[in-house]
Amino acid sequence: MKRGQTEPSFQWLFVLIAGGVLFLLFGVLIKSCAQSGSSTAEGLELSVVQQKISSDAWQGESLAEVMLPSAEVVCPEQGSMTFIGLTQQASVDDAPVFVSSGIGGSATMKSVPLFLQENDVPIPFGSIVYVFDHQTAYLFIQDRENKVAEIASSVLSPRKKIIDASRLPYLSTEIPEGSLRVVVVAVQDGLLGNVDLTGVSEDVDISALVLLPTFVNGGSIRFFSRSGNAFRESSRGQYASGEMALGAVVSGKSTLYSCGERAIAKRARLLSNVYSSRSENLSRSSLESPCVEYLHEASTILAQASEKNDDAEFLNALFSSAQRLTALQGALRAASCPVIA
Amino acid sequence: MKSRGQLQTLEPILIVMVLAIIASIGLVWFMRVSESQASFDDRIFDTAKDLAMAKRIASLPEISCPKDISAGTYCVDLAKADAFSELASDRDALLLYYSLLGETQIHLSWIDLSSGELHNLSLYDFLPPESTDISGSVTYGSVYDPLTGERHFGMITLRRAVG
Repeated sequence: MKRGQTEPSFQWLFVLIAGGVLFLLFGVLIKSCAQSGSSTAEGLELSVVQQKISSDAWQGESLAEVMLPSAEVVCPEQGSMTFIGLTQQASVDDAPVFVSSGIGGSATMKSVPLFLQENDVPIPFGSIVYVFDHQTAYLFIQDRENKVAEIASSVLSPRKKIIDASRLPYLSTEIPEGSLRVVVVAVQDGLLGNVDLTGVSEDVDISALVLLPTFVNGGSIRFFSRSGNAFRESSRGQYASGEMALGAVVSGKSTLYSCGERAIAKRARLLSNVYSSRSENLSRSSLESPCVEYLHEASTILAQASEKNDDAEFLNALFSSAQRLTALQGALRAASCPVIA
Repeated sequence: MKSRGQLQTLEPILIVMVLAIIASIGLVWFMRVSESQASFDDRIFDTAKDLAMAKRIASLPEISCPKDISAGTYCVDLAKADAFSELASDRDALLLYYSLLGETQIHLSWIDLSSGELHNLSLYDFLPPESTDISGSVTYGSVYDPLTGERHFGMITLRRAVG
């Protein structure tokens, strides 16, 4: 073959290779653009957070690290829980969720099943979502019985600390650097009177609460807010279970806590009605003694709790009956009867 | 007839033209592949969403089997499903479950193997009548009758407004 004949065929080969490379580059460019677009959107939409919370709030046992857009959480006494961002807002009114007053940046979202009482035959009452915002610091005041350490172990936040009561006059030095919000938690009454907030910047949103167990699953809560350089009691309430005590810690403030409590009560009422109706229908069927008596008693307890119109009263009535309902659930199982739930 | 000199002058233009043709063919091919991939992804996404929804429904304590008799992922307690069905027709309850289930229609069917009868129960219905783009799926599981202690073959039928 002559030199003149080989040269043009090499040129065509070059053209083909160059075309192929050009096409591949073009394809890779389009694909990478499409991917980066979708991942940015996922991190910045409040509606994505809303969807995540709303679906997790109905299913127990999930744990996720999420990036949340910066937003204030608003929950007036009779209103709904709403996240308000710069250009958008999202409501999570029906989701049983506990979240601090402001969110933004990295957070841990955890959902846990809510049981009337833990035992071999648990009675499920839905699930609860906690959103641990990483810009909120939780300071737990040590007690002799280590009850506060038990609560602290459930808090999934890198900014949590257990401090000795003797450090209370120097609280400002215990706050981790960069914290936007602080929640001080105690399980002994009278401790918060010793707190000096002189060194705590006015820009830091600080609140406190005392949890006092009064019955088997729950107890009373006292919420405190900042008044000058000290804490002043702002309101009192009840918590009906350990899960709700943790909810009070996450919320930090009574208005936000009552919003989560209301959402839990809403769903618990529906579940109570389902369980009560089921137990009543089964007790009227062809089942034999003692199944009928046990199921009828369970139905009556649940129906009586549902009669309470106030959400906090309803939840307290429900959780106060937990021991009896759990005993009935166990007795039904032992007698090979259908259980309550 | 063109001389060798003329051909050499036209060569860069020819190369550019061939490159442009190759690039356009590549672009058309890429767009077609992307489109078919997108519609395939949509179908996979819809199926995954339906499956996730069915799993979510079956694991709701409102209708799921008690823990100690639970059989597999999809087990529905018939007495609970009956009570839930009545309750979910109430407007307030419907609005509450809407935040979880959205614009969906959910039916539970089960076959009583002893009699061979097929039973149906509407669990939740919030599908707007004007919906035209509907995704449907059927998930199989078991239906537990607490009265007799029997388990039946069950199906959760889901119709969901898409888009």
